[in-house]
Amino acid sequence: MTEIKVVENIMKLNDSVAAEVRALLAERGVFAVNLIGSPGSGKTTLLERVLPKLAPLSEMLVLEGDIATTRDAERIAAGGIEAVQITTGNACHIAAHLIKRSLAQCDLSGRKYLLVENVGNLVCPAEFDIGEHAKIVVLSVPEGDDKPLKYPLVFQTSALCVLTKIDLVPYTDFSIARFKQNVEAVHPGMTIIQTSLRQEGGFEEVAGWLRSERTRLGAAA
Amino acid sequence: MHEYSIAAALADRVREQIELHRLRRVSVVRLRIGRLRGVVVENLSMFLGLLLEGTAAAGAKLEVDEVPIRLSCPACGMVAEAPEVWALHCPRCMGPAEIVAGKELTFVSLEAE
Ligand SMILES: Nc1nc2c(ncn2[C@@H]2O[C@H](COP(=O)(O)OP(=O)(O)O)[C@@H](O)[C@H]2O)c(=O)[nH]1
Ligand SMILES: [Mg+2]
Ligand SMILES: [Zn+2]
Repeated sequence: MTEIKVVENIMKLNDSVAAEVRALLAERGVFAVNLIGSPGSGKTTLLERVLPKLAPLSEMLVLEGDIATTRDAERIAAGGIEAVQITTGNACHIAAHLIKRSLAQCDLSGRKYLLVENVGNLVCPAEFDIGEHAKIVVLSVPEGDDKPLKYPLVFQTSALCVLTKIDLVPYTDFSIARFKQNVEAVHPGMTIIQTSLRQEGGFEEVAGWLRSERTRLGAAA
Repeated sequence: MHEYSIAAALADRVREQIELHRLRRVSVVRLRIGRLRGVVVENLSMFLGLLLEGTAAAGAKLEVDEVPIRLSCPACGMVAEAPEVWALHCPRCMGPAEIVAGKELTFVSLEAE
């Protein structure tokens, strides 16, 4: 028996494809975000509400990740925004090569924003770099205010936290103050934006965040 | 569930090494995994075992060196181990700290012939 030294990142293949995707997007002036959250946390709703406020429809492209069905892509396309469904088969996350393959079929000219809705799951998608410029973690009130402590990696690696369904706070034991404390413990200084279907304000704020982040990261063409 | 994703990537890396060095038998796979990854080693080991069935690494033992989360505070200079996976601020001044260790997902070595 001999020892064979390897010392490499287990995810190196995925990470190198992700780096390729990121470089391609930066070159084309496209700012890419990866939306991560549990099933039903409100990711598709967030896109439906935020995108019309973000930019002219032709400047945005949405990739919808799901284990099966094209329902979410159809919801986005109904709003006049180009959306491509990525079905992952049984995989619980989108891997970088799926993004690369989807982008090869898309026209990127004139695009400024790429929004990827990852497969509903707070754990696996946090492990996989897909070539995004920023991750956004989407958590809904009914999931509970302790989730940052239970899923620290996704909160730690995301640039923004969107807390959805705040209209449901009165019907649950969710405490926004406690949630903020928990987020602060995991990711000091993390920006949290609260949204509800009953008010447009939060969605405006998310659109503003995306615009300023695109400018800040110099993806502006 | 995320242990499956990691196991699948790792199984590819192990197969790559088997081909590269024309290994006949792999007895141990060694990893270094940061605590922040929240990997349940038992699950990883089970998935890896299934994925490597029928290869030269079938039945190989998985050895994992778990790396604690280490924080470094740019404001006050404190260097410390995070007391919990979710306590990622500076334990002295409570400011934002940099994570200097604890995110590792490293394939370190193989014991093979
Ligand atoms: N009460 C309430 N329900 C919401 C809100 N946002 C989304 N939902 C509902 O939550 C459900 C799941 O939303 P969806 O966007 O499909 O979640 P996804 O699986 O994360 O894409 C839908 O029935 C939405 O109408 C909200 O702000 N308040
Ligand atoms: Mg959805
Ligand atoms: Zn400090």
